[in-house]
Amino acid sequence: MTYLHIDNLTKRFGNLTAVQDVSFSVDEGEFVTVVGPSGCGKTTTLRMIAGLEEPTSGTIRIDGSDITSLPAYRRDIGVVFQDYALFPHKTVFENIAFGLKMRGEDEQTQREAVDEMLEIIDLEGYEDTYPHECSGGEQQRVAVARALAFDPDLVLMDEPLSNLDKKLRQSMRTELKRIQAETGVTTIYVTHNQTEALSMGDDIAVLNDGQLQQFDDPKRVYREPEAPFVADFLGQSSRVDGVLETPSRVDLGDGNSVAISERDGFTPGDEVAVFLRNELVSIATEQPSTGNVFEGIVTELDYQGGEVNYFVDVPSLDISVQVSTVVSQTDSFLEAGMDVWMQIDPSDVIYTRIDDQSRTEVSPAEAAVEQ
Amino acid sequence: MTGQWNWRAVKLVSALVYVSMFVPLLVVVVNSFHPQRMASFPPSSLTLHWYGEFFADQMLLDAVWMSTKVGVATAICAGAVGTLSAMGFVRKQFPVKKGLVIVMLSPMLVPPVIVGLASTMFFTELGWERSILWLVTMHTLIALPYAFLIVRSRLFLFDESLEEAAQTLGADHLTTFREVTFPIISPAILTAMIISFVISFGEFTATQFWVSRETTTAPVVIYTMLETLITPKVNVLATLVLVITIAIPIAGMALQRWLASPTE
Repeated sequence: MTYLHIDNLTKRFGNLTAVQDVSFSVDEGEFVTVVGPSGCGKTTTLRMIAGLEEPTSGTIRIDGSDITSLPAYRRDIGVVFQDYALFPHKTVFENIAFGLKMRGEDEQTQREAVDEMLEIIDLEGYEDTYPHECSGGEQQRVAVARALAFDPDLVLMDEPLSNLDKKLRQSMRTELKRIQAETGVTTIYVTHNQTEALSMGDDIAVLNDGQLQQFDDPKRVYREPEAPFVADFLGQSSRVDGVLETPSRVDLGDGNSVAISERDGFTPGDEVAVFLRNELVSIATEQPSTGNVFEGIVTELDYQGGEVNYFVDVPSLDISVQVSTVVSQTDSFLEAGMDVWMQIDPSDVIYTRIDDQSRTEVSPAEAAVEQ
Repeated sequence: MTGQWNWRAVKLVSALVYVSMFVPLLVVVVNSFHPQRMASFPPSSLTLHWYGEFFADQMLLDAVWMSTKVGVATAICAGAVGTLSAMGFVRKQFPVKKGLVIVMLSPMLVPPVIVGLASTMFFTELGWERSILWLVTMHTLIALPYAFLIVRSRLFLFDESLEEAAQTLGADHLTTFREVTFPIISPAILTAMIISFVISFGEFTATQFWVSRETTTAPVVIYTMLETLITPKVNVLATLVLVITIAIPIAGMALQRWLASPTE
């Protein structure tokens, strides 16, 4: 059942269009991640939903009622800010109880709600501490509790984990999902981190340049990207452009082609971008007998312990392909300068139609690199 | 080695500056306990005689009381107006903002004697009689740039996401100010008020144009006493003015530390 409805949301700052015609719907109890490089409009979208930014046009509806023109303080939407924005002069109790106090709830109700929240976030006994006395992870959880305590219609989180170190981020990710499942609150979670977006979202909205590129569940977004940007942004891959020759083969020029598995909505003659995912390409010194096979030369290897990344030049396609392989204790390594064969199954080849906008696109890979 | 000598030179010069600042003040304080009318320094003995005379002199007590009233009222007015204007200048965008900042700061830039003279001519032309209200108005004008600058610099550092957080939690603009903004910037407002009080309490150059017989302030009385009758009571008054201008900021700092303690 559709709960949150966003319709043609647009925000212009002077000549700059930060968000353009973004529409999507979220079901009740769903956890949606909004992902994209910095400056893609994801935070602006979130701020419009929260009521902290006025949309230039478009509507926002919750449970059927239009909230577009309501001020933030009349919206019943909890927000977890990137820097937490805990009130420094108030205790953990006063912070968490603030939303209830604003709604005129009595002491007793506040006490019960805060106790319940502290139990959920596992910070019992922290009532009288001040935010500055809490660690980063604890502050983060207090911020989540404050946004949830007044039983909001919707919770918005703006890169809530970006200020934490990598280990803590990992565990907080699980923690946030657990809290969301426990409270069942509809959540929109903004991040620039692709792993976070894929692992946490029931659905993912991929934004670029203020436009919604795709809104789908994580597996479909990863496996059947609808725009070159989506394929490029999520995951590590190498891109080659070509033209669809038959429904199951792409002509890559210069007599090269790649077999693909057929998908609806494509017709021969379509210009497509082909993506070879690093982890789906295998590498061997003997010529493989099946699948798409390319000849290449190893230029570099990047040893990362459990896995090795090989950088392989493919002269026929004029690209450099990265191949990630898991290595066991006894595996030997390929060396730079070696001639190798690379193989990828037709069903593992990802391809998308090229639209006019994405033809001149620069690689968003830098923005996508996990911090 | 030269570095060490340079450092010693800095220390020596600093010490000389402070000595030349504080020794004259000390002379005034010591002389207020001097037994003779024509003071020779150092005094041969100490007495509270002039303090007794001072507290018996209603005119002097009135002047100190007047200065205190004007100072407190100025602190409140400059604190409130300074805070409001700082909020406006930091948070809102409007045309000729930079130019208006200079207007805000101009009372600090114009020589006090000119401020005194010009305002007196202006008010007299308007037919406004000298009164405590006149004093408070003009002292507020003189203290306002300082109050404005102090609160403004605090607001520049203020994390506005705190206010946004309050709003998403259901606080309207007024409640947000009361619950979040004000408590966090209150130490700066207090500082602004203390500075305003001290400026008002010690202001002489412009104030001499503004006082009437009924509204004369302590600094003006000190000057008049030196001009007309030489009495050691003036040392007592000076000592008292000195003590108040030092005690108020110290009390303020203590209050501030107490206010700020949870956020440190």
